[in-house]
Amino acid sequence: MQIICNDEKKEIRPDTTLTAFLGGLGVKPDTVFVECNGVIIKRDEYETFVLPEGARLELIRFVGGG
Amino acid sequence: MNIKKYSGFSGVNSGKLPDRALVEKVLAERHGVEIQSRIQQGVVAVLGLGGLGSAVAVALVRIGVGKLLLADYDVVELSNLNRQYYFADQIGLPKTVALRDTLLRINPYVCLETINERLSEERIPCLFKGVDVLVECFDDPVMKPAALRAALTGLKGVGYVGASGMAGFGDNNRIVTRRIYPRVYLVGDEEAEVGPNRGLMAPRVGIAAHHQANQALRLLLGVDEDT
Repeated sequence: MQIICNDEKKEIRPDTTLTAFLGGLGVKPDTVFVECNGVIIKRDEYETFVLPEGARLELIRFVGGG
Repeated sequence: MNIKKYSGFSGVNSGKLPDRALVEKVLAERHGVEIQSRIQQGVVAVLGLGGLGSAVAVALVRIGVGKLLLADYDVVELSNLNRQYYFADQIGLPKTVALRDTLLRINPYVCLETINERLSEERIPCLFKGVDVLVECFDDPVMKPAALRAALTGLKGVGYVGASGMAGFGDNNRIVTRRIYPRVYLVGDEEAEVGPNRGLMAPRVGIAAHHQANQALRLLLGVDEDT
């Protein structure tokens, strides 16, 4: 099935959790801000949040330094 | 000759500080009366007082922001001095204390509140209610998205300026200010993290810090344009 992540189409398996999806991108879940279909996802929901078909995902990946 | 004289304060080694009214008058003359009035009413929180936060705070105090909340749990170390607004004689002091002292030397009348604790996603909404603009200056990449979530969910409508990606000596112009939501901005190249031969250095961290400070100013002045 398909989702849209930062305006880019991505093919994923059904029942993919947010954590699994981020893992596939090589992104550490702790360093990313996630909005799915306009809703901000809390950090403690990443492990259980299943990406729905056609989801519009907005990720902001943060790097350290300040 | 373009020399202005102000009664009561020569400004040259007089050994006495200008009074509050004079400080405000000079700022209003520089910046414009209406603009200065809005700056002076502004309340800004700076989260993390490292290379970004210390420079942001200095810039905002220089222009006369009315009140700053300064949050950090760390102490000044020698290794900070390559980019952070501290001095060798401040090594070992809590950053909140060291920066407070410096800021009061710039403007003795600025209202400062220091918060000497390690912040968390849960604490941010409690500590910063009523603030006009939150400037996220953390070093830790985990606290950056945490602070953004805290602001968007727990402090709705607050102005927000975060930062990500300013290590090394990469291209100046890759540092940008991006509007991610109404009144919410992210500064940086969003890529350059600390690595081998890519340390955090005063020039580029300073570019990002001053993007943040100017964006905070714009928010205080009611500017919120999607560029």
